[in-house]
Amino acid sequence: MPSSISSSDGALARTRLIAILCAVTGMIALGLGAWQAIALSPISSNRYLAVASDKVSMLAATKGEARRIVLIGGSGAAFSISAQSLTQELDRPVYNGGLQAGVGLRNLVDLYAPYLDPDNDLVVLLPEPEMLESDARYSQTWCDLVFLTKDLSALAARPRCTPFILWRTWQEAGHHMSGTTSVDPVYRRSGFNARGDLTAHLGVKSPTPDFSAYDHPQITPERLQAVIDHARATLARRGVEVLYVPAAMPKAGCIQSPERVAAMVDQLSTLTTSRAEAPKMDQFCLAPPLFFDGAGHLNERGRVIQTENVRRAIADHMRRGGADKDGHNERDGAGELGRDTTALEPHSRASEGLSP
Amino acid sequence: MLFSTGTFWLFFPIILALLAANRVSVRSVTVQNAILLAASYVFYGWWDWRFLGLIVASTLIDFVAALQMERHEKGSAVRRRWLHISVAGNLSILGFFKYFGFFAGELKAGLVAVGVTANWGTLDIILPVGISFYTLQTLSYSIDVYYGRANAEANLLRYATYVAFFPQLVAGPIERARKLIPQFERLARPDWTSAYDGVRLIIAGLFLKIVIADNLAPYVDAVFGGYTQMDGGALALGALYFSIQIYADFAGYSSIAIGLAAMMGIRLSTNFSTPFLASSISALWRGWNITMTLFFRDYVYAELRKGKRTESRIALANIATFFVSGLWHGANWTFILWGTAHGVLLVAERRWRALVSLGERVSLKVAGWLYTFGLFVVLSVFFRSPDIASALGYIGRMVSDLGIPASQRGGLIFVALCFGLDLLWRGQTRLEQGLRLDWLGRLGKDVAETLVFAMALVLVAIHATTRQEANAFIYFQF
Repeated sequence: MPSSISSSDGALARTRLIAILCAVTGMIALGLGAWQAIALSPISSNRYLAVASDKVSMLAATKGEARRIVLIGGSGAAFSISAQSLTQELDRPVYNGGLQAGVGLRNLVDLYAPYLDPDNDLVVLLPEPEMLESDARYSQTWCDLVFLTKDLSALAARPRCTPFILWRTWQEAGHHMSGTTSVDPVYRRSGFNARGDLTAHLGVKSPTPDFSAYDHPQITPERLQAVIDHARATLARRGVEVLYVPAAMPKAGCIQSPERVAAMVDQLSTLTTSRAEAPKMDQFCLAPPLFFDGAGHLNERGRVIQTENVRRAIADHMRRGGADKDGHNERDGAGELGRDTTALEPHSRASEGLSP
Repeated sequence: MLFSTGTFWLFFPIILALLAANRVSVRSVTVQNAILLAASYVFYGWWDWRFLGLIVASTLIDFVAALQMERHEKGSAVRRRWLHISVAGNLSILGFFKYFGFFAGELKAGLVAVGVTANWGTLDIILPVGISFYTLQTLSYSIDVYYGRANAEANLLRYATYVAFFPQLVAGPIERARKLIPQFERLARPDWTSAYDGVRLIIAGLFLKIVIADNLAPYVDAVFGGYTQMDGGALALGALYFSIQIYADFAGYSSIAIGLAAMMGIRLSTNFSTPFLASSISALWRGWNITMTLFFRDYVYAELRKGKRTESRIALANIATFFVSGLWHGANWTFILWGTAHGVLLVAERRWRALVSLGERVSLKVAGWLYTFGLFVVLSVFFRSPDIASALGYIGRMVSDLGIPASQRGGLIFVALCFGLDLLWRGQTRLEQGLRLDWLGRLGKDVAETLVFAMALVLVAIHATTRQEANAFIYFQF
């Protein structure tokens, strides 16, 4: 049988091996140089995920604002909660840091942590089950974020993103050459308001999504605990006040595995720094007509309900001892909040959400 | 554990480091083999540790049988009995796990067809990964010892390492004992040459698997899954893509296996040698899964051809050998038909050659290539389809609606690129002469070769990190 190994000179082989390594390093350096040098094409700079830098800037610019509330979650938070309404209802500045489930909760918390103020902020965590399921320090979504922000230090922290960055740079060159500028009418950076809420989907008619094949993500308690521990170390242990509020979920998911959902919510509730009761899950389990799409994003009607759910949870948190850094007690504002429930029509819409 | 996953590339450097530590400090062949055997069992157990028992059983059966055969004279009844025990033992394991369900199902269908009630249930037996490969390897050992072509190995650790050596355990190359066992009798000493060759082979293999085969897989799956809804052009392209996919997948695996072994200082046999550039079916099989083809030639064809060498006997031996080869690929009539068809073509080719001298004219070579590759592509439809009816339906639609639609003509450029790459890489597993770039001069060739492998590695890294999940190698299922 023929041999598979050649008999070339050892010293030459070593030189050639080193040459391959040098060439690979050179190609990577060239690719990363192109990444830094080439400006983002309109198609990339207006992508949905590109809003991350706007959200970071928003939090940086408002850091130190008294009694600030920061919502952190996936796209469920961005689509389904109105920080603008909450700002008016709670008489506190509320900012929506909802981004995308694929980023992962730990990465998102790390991204926002430098811009949080332990003396002023209440952080409301609203991770969707999908965000917890896909929580990984390395993910394509995270690498995409690194690409869009052109952040070399973030790349140094996750060097595994390098091949992804090279691939996206190649794609980017293609976008520049083709001159394509079309962006999704809903999933786009310019679809957000100044508070970080996505509003591009409001008023857009969409068919009722079919959740009959919805499969509730499988997250082991150990894996969930790792995420909780990280969030606690990054937020609560630094003195940041934290409240966990469940993300809105298709009713099918709640019916399919109520025990699993309840166990997950109970475990995540340990993140809350006040003595608030674990949330009642049924108010977060909504009927399909309240969803904008199959990815768990709520439509205009659903968004009103979930915003009210969040408002109530914050109110309860304050009542049960959540520290108000200005010395305010949320009980003082409870009546005021109660007044506005009419405007939000919480009860009628919530019951609608719970109906099959 | 898959060669194309990150887990393996964390595992392999550990093994290299352990082997290097042994070479530097202990310098023990026993320790080296113990490391290799433990690594091989971990590698295999990663899929399903329960099936390790089968490898151990197969190892012990042949180890004992070979020692017993050697203790008795050639031609003696006892020696023959031990061969029978070895063959029966191996074929029983293979037969139960791979063919029991198929034959039980066929028997049931046959009985029902003649009006006999057959209401027994069928067992849902999992096919252990790589069983077809290591069973052939151990069988070849027993048969070689029986005929006196190889010595029985008295060291169980060494023999077990030969059977389970992880680079080639699950999909070959199928190694003969007399080639591989002696390499475990001494301390393997990889050098810069073997490391360089190993790296090139691994890069070439990963490129074939991750960049070519895995990217073709979704299209092939979609075409074969929904062929009833597609036009002939799309189906022709699907069959063409599948042929390239299976080649890139299997040749890629072999290339990585040989490269990994080279990095550990172990030489494995070449398993692919530009089969798609062949201008006859027989030449194609001399370059496709070479170690398996040689196994069937030496242990099946040679046995069937014994006796009077008439043309009809040779023809029957050829067809029967390819029938067995088809059955080896899978317990399905599609594989049997695929293998037998290749055997019939081989016989027809032999008869044709006896009548007509083709000579060396380029035009004839091109015609031969078109015929060979064209038939391989058409027959590959049987290989990929779930049953014969689907395969015939697929081919029927493919030929009734000829022509590649304009929207899919870009696919042909991809196919041409694959062939260009194949020419460049010379079958991936034979790198003695490097890439076919001599026309660039010594320096030009060195620079181009370096850039080609570096670019291939970068592309592998990009595709590996941007895909959804790693695809298993196709030949694992055999």
